[in-house]
Amino acid sequence: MARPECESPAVSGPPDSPETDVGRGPRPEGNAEVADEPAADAVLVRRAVLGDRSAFTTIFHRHGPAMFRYALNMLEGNTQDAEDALQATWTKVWVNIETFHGRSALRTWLFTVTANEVLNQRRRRRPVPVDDTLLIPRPEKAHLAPAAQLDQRQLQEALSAALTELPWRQRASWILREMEGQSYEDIAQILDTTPTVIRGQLHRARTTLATRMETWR
Amino acid sequence: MTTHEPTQEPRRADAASGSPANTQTLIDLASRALTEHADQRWVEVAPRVLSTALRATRRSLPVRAHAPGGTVHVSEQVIVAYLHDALDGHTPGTAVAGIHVNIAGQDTFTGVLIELIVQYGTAILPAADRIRAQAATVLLELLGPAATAINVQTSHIHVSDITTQDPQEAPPTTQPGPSVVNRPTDSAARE
Repeated sequence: MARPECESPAVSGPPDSPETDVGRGPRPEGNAEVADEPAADAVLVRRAVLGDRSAFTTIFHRHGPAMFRYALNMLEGNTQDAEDALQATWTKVWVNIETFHGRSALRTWLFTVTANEVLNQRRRRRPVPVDDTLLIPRPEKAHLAPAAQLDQRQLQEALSAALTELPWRQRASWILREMEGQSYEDIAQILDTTPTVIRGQLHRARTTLATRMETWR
Repeated sequence: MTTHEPTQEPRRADAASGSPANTQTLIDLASRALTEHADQRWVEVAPRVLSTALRATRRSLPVRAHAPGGTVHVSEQVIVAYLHDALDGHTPGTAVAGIHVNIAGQDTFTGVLIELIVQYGTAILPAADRIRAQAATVLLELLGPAATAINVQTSHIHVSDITTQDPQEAPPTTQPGPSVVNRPTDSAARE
């Protein structure tokens, strides 16, 4: 039986509202936020479970950028879709953070939730491609001058387009490994597979991307 | 957050040589450009995402409270958040590891269990007494006479861990807390 949602008519809400908690003042002695060393993820989780919104905000700012990069690159650079996926992710994290028991790194758990929400977002948007085989048409040479080809934005768009043509699991593996520096074991946990499979996916992704990017040399 | 080196312009002579190493250089540069692009977008969307997430309501049991105008209900999560805010870090050498509100039938508050992490060398009993008094004050404020009708003895203080470091820096204990008394019989099914 699901526990009922309950709003308190007697009080306006938890001690710190979303609008005010970010700038909440320091606590007395012994508080992790006061120390120079940033609080460990496990400490922040313990406090967030107990409703500490400033701890949750710290987690959000610590891991949110990497999760957004993953979502944005998995959703073909569509900012709105990535925002929707991250919104669903962080809402679930806030509501269910007590279900994180520390059996993996917090970042790995967060990426797992993000990967699921990105998949849900893709399903809502269009049918999921199920064929993992890759047909690699060589793109025509760009019509820009060589100097322009090496422009940062051109490179970014070239890699983004090449990533888009990778199968989902290869793309996810490459982003998590090459852009976010996750270990094979963590990627396997995030994508619910084995490190051996991840190694194979990464090898194929690297080969395909190298082929794609040859046209930009 | 993964740190990335500043974007560097590729050496065109190298890039034109066509070696695999240069292809990897291009991919690395493009990857950094993608990262910077995403981070710029994130700055725009992060405030919206955070504020919306924090407005989501966690699952919670209602607790009956007595207000001047009559009986009202307070969310269990509200009680936990207020207690944590009032207790955590306010007693030297202690940190709150968990708070469990005990609720009997008809949403009746019967007590609260507060788990503590205590730094080695801290006098546990005085610290527990201080926290118990602080908790009673918070509960009186939130629940009114519904809290004072409950003997403070039912507000348990449980020391779940002892650490030699700052207890605020201690991660959560992996051992589950003691069973909570006076829970509704179907509480397990609600999880």
